[in-house]
Amino acid sequence: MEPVPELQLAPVSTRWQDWFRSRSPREILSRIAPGDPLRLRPRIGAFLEQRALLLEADAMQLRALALVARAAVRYRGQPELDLWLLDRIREAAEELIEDPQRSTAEASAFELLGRPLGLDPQGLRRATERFNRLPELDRQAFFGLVLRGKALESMSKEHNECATELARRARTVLLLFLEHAAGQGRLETSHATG
Amino acid sequence: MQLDEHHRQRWEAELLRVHQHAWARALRSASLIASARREQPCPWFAALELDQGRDSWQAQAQECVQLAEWDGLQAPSELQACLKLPELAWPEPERLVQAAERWLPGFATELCKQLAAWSALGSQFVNRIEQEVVEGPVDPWRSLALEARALTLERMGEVDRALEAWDQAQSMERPRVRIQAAALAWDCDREEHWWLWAGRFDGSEPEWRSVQWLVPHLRRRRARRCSSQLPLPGQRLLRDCPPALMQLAMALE
Repeated sequence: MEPVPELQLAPVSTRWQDWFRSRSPREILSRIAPGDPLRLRPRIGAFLEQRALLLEADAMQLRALALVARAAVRYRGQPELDLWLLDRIREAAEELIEDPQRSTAEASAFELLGRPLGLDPQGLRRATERFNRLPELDRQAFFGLVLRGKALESMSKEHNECATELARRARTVLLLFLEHAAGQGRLETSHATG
Repeated sequence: MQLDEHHRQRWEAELLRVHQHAWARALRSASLIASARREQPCPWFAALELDQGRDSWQAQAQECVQLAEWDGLQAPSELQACLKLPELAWPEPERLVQAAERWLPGFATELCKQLAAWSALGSQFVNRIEQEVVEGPVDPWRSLALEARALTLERMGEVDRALEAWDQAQSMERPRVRIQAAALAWDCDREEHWWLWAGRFDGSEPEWRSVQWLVPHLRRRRARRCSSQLPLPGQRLLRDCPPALMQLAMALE
C-alpha cells in the first residue's frame, strides 16, 4: 500500500491571500490549479483513506479545485485554511457521491482497475457508487479487512466493534462488489467468448 | 503548451459546472419558498426552509449572480427575477424547478416529488410514489421516493403509515430522512420511534450538523405546543441522551 504523503502545510497557510486575491473564481482557479500549490491532492488522498471512500482522485481534485476557487472569494482566513480546505474536499466528495455520473475524470480508474482483473468496469462503477453510500462502519470494515488486509482483532479494537460483526459487514460489502462487478464481468466474458 | 491548454479547459469546464450546480441549488431554495408561499400552511420542513432560509437564500442567490458576473457568465434569469422581489411577483415554483433541471438534470425529480408531497395533490401523488418505490431501480431516486411517500402520508395525517414509511426510508442512511422521521416522532409523542431515529445520531460531523439543524425547529414546535395547550412530549424523550443529542436537550430545557 502506498503511504499517504505527509502534508507540508506551512507555506500554504501563509500564501493563501496571494492566491485568493481576486473577485473572479476563474482567475483564482488559474492560480491554484497549476502545480497544486494548496496541496489538494495529498489532502484528498488522506481524506478518502480516512473516510473509507472509493472515489476517483482525479475527479475529486477537479471538483475540489473548482469549489475552492468559487468559495475563495469570500474566504477571510476563518476557519483555518486547513479546515476550510477540508470542508471543500468534503463538499466535493458529497457532490460526487450524490451525483456520480457527473464525474469528469478522463482515464477512468474503473477501466484501469477492472479490465486486468476481469471485472466489468461499469459494474465496478455501480458497485463503488453503492459502496460510497453505505454506512461508514461497513465501508471501514471492507477497507480495513479486504483492501488493506488488516487483522480482524486490530480492526475490532480500532473501531470498538465486535469482530464477528465487522467480518459480517466486510463480507456483505464484498458480496455487493462480486454481485455487480464479477457477475457482470463473467457474463461479459462468456458473451465475448461464446 | 497544448497540455496546459487542455488542463485549463478541463478546470474551467468544472468551474462552470460548479457555478451551474450553485444556480440549481439556489433555484431549488427559491422554488421551495415560492411553493410554500402558495401552499400555507406548509409542513414543517418547508417552514424550516422559510425560517432559516429567507435571508440566506437571498444571499445565496445574490452571490450566484455576482460570481457569475465576475466570471463573465450570466446567472439564470429566473434567479435574477427572484432577487427583484418583493416588487415583482414570484415565478411559479414549477418554472423554477424547470430552470433548476436545466443545470442539474434529475435534480428536479426530487423537487417535483417534494412539491407534490406537500401540495394539495399529495394524496393523488402517493400512488405514483408507491409505484416508484416498488419499481425504482436506482439510488438515490429510490430513497427520495421513499422520503416523498413518508412526507405525503405525514401530510395526510396518517401517522402510523408515515412512521412506517420513514422507517423504510431511513434505511437509506440519509441524515435528512432521519431528522424528519425524528421530528414526526417527537411531534406525535412516539417514544419508541423517537429513539429509533434520534438515538442513532452518532456524533459524527454530518450527523452533528443534522442535530444542529433540528434544534431550532423543535424549539419552535415546543413553543407552539405550549401556547396551544397541547401536551408536551415530555422530557423523558431526552433523558439519557447520546452525547450528540445533549445540545438538543439543553435547547429544549
